[in-house]
Amino acid sequence: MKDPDQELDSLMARLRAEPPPAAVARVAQELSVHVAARVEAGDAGLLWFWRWSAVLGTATMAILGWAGGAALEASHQLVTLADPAVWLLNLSL
Amino acid sequence: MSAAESAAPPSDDSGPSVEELVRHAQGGDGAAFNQLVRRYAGRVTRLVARFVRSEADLAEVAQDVFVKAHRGLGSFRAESPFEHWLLRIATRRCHDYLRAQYRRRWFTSFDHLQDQGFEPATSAAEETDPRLPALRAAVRRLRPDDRTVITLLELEEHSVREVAALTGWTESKVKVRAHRARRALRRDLESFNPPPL
Repeated sequence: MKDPDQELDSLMARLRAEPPPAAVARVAQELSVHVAARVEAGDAGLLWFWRWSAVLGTATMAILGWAGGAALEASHQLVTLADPAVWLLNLSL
Repeated sequence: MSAAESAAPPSDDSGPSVEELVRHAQGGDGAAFNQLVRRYAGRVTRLVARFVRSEADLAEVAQDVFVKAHRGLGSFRAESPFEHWLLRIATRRCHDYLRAQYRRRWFTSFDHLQDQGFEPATSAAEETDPRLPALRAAVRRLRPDDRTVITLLELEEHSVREVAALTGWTESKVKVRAHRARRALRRDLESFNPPPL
């Protein structure tokens, strides 16, 4: 009866000695082309992201600026309208 | 380095050294990085093939390794050889792949995995020992950590120390995983009854 450890070792050695699947050579051959395409697409994607972030950021700031200005103007008008002195002046006129 | 690695030098060895190529690639030279990919494509693909279950997965995982390497080139400090650094990325990507497959094992039966036909280029005539396919299937059934360790130790012929460096685990964890994996494989082989000839 063979020692199970030795048996496992000898089978493992045979697995190790097996030639790699035929697909390995095919994939390795085409790898650089696919990697270059993915790296380029990744860089382009990153560039696209930064460009659109800049555009959206600028647009958001412009909208917030306009909304802030409008809110300030409205609040200023409300304060003016609520001022009793203005009311009295309007009545006297 | 292991015998497997010294026996299989990276392809496309002519031209500038790896250090020069890495330096240029770190400076944004796409052609230099492309040359690195060509040089290590065979080595990385052979390693990945030990873990994946189909040609499509092999292509995807091998590409991922190099895309990750491209992203991480800035962090490569040349304290260890570029090949070690690349193989570390490959090992961790393969381990992630195994974990993802293991999580999905309830939805994909192992019989189905064996039907994928992603086997070594051994002809049926050479396959005289029915225990070999049984052992391959048993290795596939191991838990991801165990399979990673046993593959690197037994099939890629790395030392415990090298496996620890490749996986980022401690040497004692590597030894424990190897012991468990071998125990599971022995058990599977003992329960395997070859069909009568």
